[in-house]
Amino acid sequence: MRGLVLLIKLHHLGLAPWIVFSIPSGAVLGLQVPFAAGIALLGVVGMILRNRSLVLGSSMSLLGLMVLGKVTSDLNALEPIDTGVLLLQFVAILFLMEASLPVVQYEEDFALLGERNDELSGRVATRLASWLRSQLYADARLGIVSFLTSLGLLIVGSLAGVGIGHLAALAVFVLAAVVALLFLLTYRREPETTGRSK
Amino acid sequence: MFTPKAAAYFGLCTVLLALALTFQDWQLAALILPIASVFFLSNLSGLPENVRITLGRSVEPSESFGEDDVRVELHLENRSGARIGNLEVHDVLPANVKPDKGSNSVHVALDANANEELVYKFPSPSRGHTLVGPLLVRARDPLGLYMVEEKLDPDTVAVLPKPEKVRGTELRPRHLGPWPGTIPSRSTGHGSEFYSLRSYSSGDDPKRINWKATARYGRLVLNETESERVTDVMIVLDTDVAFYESSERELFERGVRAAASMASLLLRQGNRVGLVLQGIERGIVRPGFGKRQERRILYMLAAARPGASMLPTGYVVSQLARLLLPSRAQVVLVSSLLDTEVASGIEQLTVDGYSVMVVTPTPTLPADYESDSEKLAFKILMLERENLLLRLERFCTLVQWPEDVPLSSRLRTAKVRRIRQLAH
Repeated sequence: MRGLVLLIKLHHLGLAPWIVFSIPSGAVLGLQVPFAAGIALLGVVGMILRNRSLVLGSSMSLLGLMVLGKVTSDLNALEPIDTGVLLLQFVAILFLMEASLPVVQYEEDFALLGERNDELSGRVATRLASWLRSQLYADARLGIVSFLTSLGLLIVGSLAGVGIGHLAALAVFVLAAVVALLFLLTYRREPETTGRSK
Repeated sequence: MFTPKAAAYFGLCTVLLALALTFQDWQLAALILPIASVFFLSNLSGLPENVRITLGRSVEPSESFGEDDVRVELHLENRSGARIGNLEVHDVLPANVKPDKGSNSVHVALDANANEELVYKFPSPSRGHTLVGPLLVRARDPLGLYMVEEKLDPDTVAVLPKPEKVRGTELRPRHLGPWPGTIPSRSTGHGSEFYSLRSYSSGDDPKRINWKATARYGRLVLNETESERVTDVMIVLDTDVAFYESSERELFERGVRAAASMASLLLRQGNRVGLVLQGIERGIVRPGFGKRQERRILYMLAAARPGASMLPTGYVVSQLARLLLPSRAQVVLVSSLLDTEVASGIEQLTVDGYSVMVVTPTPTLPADYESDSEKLAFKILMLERENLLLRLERFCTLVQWPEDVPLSSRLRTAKVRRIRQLAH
């Protein structure tokens, strides 16, 4: 468990160079090393200081750079990156960012307990560890399943052979995507009000 | 309900779609797929359809004199029929209260139909009413896209002022109740103090025969005692202590302790006692008897805060005495007497026939002054207060209570001084 937490705390060190060096150098004005180092540092410092803003900032920067890289390659008509790799990078950024948040929360809650050795604090620490384990497990499961689902959908999409260049097909695709998102957002979900119980 | 994070993801999808359309890049559009999958999976298995969590809290002790740690037990029961993996539990506490065992803020996972008991302890806060809660329990799916919040109203921990052990005090109101008590009634009856002699008549208790007097007068003479009864008392706590800042808090707390001690003593003696809080926070406990009344008074005193009132204390006291007390009853004013206007109200009360006792915590001299003008101002203030004390001594019982002196001894001294004055 500690190893996993350490891995998540330091994940920016691996993720940042991977993303930054896979985008066209023009997107970062040729400053790939400083960009990668800066983002990695921001993320690691954020994790050490338990500062959510820094962690989110670092991950969002990677996301932004990834999209910027894609747009740059579109504008310069460069060879596009493999879709599977792009998808993997995207999922990795999102889910490692999501995994960082419970780790930060866990460390914050743990810091509140301080150096206390009493039974009540011990019980809280145990519950926290159990909660973190279940969170990380759920995050990992969601990440893997969503990646595989996306990959599967892409393969099915390529078999159907609908060209994105056709305006009508594109419009239908966009409309379907928006409707699907709205449906997924609202399906079985009624806006809930604050409840009270005693 | 959806969290801001869900909205942010939706925004990201929109941006990706817009870019995909602009650059006609289907790879960008494909990035929406994982987000859509996450929404779908979170919706499907993230949170139970109907989140039902029953909440409860017990606080022990909910009332104390500040000697014991406060133990808070939070009870959670998941009645959703499915596991809730991401539950944030936060029992809101004031900034000055920090748990020293356990924690008031934890994240837990709760199995279906499981009960969870979260316990934490904190050192007893200082005198006052401390709110424990509200308890906020937020159930989220693993990624925090949806959230359901349950709330439990706060409980109050009342740390009451601890009354000092006061043996007795001399009150001489003219109004007395019908029940036996400790206040001499200036009439014969059952009591402990000798009152007069009278001739023996048949049916009298032979134990009361005064044999020395019988020998002197040559007929049977017996002792009569002064009956002792109860009275109605209104204790007024003047919370205006606009004084030298460093000593203000201590002076005020001494006043609260004096009011609590007097209330406890007078109720123990069987009197009907009420309380008036006069200051920035006002409150009234109507006169009553017994232990419950003591609890009510201490509970109100626990909420007292220093600060000046809009209405002058003298005016409030004289008006409320008429409303709450029978005429010629007893009023006990606990005040630092830093406002000289209080004298006129007390004078009016004595004119109306009320018996007034003023208990005044004596301000402690500051160790040093910030400037000469401040020192001068302090001296003027103290001189004005001395003048007021001299004026009050003429028509009421005055008890000055310096720091580090038991209140009991000062109450005894006040009694002696009053008797001497009467003798002169």
